[in-house]
Amino acid sequence: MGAGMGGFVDGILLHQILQWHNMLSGKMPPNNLVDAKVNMYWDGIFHAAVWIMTALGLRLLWGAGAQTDVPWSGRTFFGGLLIGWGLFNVVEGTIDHEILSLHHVYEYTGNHLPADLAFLGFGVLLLLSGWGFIRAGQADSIRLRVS
Amino acid sequence: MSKLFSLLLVALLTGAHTAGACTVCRPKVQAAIHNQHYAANALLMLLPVLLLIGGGLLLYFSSSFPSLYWKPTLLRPAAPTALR
Repeated sequence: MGAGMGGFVDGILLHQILQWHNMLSGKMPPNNLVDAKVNMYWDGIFHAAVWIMTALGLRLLWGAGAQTDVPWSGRTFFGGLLIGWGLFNVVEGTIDHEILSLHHVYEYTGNHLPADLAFLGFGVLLLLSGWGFIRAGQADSIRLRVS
Repeated sequence: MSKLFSLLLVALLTGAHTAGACTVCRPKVQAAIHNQHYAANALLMLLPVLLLIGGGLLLYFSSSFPSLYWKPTLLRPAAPTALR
């Protein structure tokens, strides 16, 4: 679920509102209407995929809620969301930005590396924060179960 | 007053230009999307999402998943001596 929501942050904020990049902007810069619309199509495919990922996450959360060995803690949940978002940034940033060069975080510069590294660094920060929240959530579980 | 406002709104909308799709460029757009690279583009673009979904499902259905973030031994009831 966190990975899906992280995908929506990327798609809605960086693709549509700020328009820093599109899915294929590294290979097909949106310099004319046709290329912009082709990029729009692939952005739509990306959004559909992260929507499915989010829906699947909701289904897994529903299943996890019924299990007795899963702590029902707000901090654990929030930590899980952050870890998912961080994983999205790291995986997507590594594959799409660095390996395949389908696009870069900020296309309007000659040097793409700083923004790409910032995106990856933010992902690592999210992973660490998420892990911290999950660790802290263990205390919530203990209180809930013992009382 | 509200009826007057509604009539005014309808009158303004009636006079407005209709939003039109790009009828001229649509064939070029379709040709640029559905070409011989379509499957490769789709696969490459969805690769990170597929990896994340696969990893998530693997983790969820793995028997050792709860032990990654939760230690059941911490939840055992306290020893009787600790309760006194």
